[in-house]
Amino acid sequence: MSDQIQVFIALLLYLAFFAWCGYQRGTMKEFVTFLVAAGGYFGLLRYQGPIIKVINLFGKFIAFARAGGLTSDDPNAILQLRDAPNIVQPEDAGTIIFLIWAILLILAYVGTGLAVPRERSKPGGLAVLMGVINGIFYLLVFLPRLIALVLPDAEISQELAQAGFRKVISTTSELIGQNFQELWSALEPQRSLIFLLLITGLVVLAATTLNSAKARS
Amino acid sequence: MGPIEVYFITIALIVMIIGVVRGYRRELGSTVIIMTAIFLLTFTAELTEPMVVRLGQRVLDIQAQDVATRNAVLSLVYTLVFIAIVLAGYAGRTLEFPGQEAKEPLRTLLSMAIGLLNGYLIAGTLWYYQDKFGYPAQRWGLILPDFSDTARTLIGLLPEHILPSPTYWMVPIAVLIILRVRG
Repeated sequence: MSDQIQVFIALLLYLAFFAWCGYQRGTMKEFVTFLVAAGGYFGLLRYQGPIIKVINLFGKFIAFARAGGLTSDDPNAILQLRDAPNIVQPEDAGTIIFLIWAILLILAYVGTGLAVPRERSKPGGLAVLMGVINGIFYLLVFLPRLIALVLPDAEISQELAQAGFRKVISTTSELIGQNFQELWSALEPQRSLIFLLLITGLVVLAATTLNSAKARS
Repeated sequence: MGPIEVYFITIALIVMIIGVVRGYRRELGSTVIIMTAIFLLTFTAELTEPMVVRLGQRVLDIQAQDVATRNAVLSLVYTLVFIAIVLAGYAGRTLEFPGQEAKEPLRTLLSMAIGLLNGYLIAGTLWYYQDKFGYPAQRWGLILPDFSDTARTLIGLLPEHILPSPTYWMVPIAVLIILRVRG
């Protein structure tokens, strides 16, 4: 139980960090970053084959240019175009695609930081939510890969990497569900009071928003 | 016919969708009415239950030893009274809170939250009156007698089980009425 609580707290801290980042950067920046991160990830996975072909063609073109294909009529240059080895071997395709995605992600963070003005990316609840969504997405992408650092067993890391999203989502939801149940059981003597405070807090929050909106108008 | 939790979760979700459409300014008025209904039914339960039983014996000729029929009548009466009060809170002239709703997306988020609270209170109370009287709806084949683990867990989370004393319900009602009057 104590191990699970540690994992749960670590997860909360991780998400709190991304929530704070989201709040600092604002909704628009986080939203654009999410679009680039998620769209880039799934897009790169979907079109992995054609992208690797384009990279390899580019490699052959470089070999062709270096052999003087662009400046002379040397027939060896044409042979270079045919014989030059592929830059990316099939077994390295996954690594290259992940590297491209990581570069895209860094560019998205830096680019939105520079290009989106602060007044167009306001901090607030939605920014926090977007930050958390980004955090969850990175967790889903990175965790199956990072697990190899702490569990060097090839079979385990391979299995986790293949299970990927599904495994992380099911484990995370199980963890949250178990911890919620444990927390709820631990709070049993004060359950009524906590529930009462929660529902009263919620209705007061909503009603106060109405009042403040009226005062503004 | 599906698991019991699917019925009640569906009811809660439908109420939540209605809440998003109506907006939380109106939904808060319905929350007051729903909580008042729960308070009244819980507060007067000791008094009204014997009354309903006696009325059932005289009008419907229910035998004293026929516990199943007695429970079915009690469940039906409480459910109908609760539905009538809730409908009064949703239809026609309703209790509304003054002021403007917040801008999007906060408006939708708050409407969802208050709608979900109302859905939980409505679906939870309907389930509670089935649970309290031994699921009389089983007699008409509306509920499966075998409950899943999820259903058993959810029974412990019904509104009247978490806040068994009617006094508790007066706290959010009083706070909301004060906020309504203050405008």
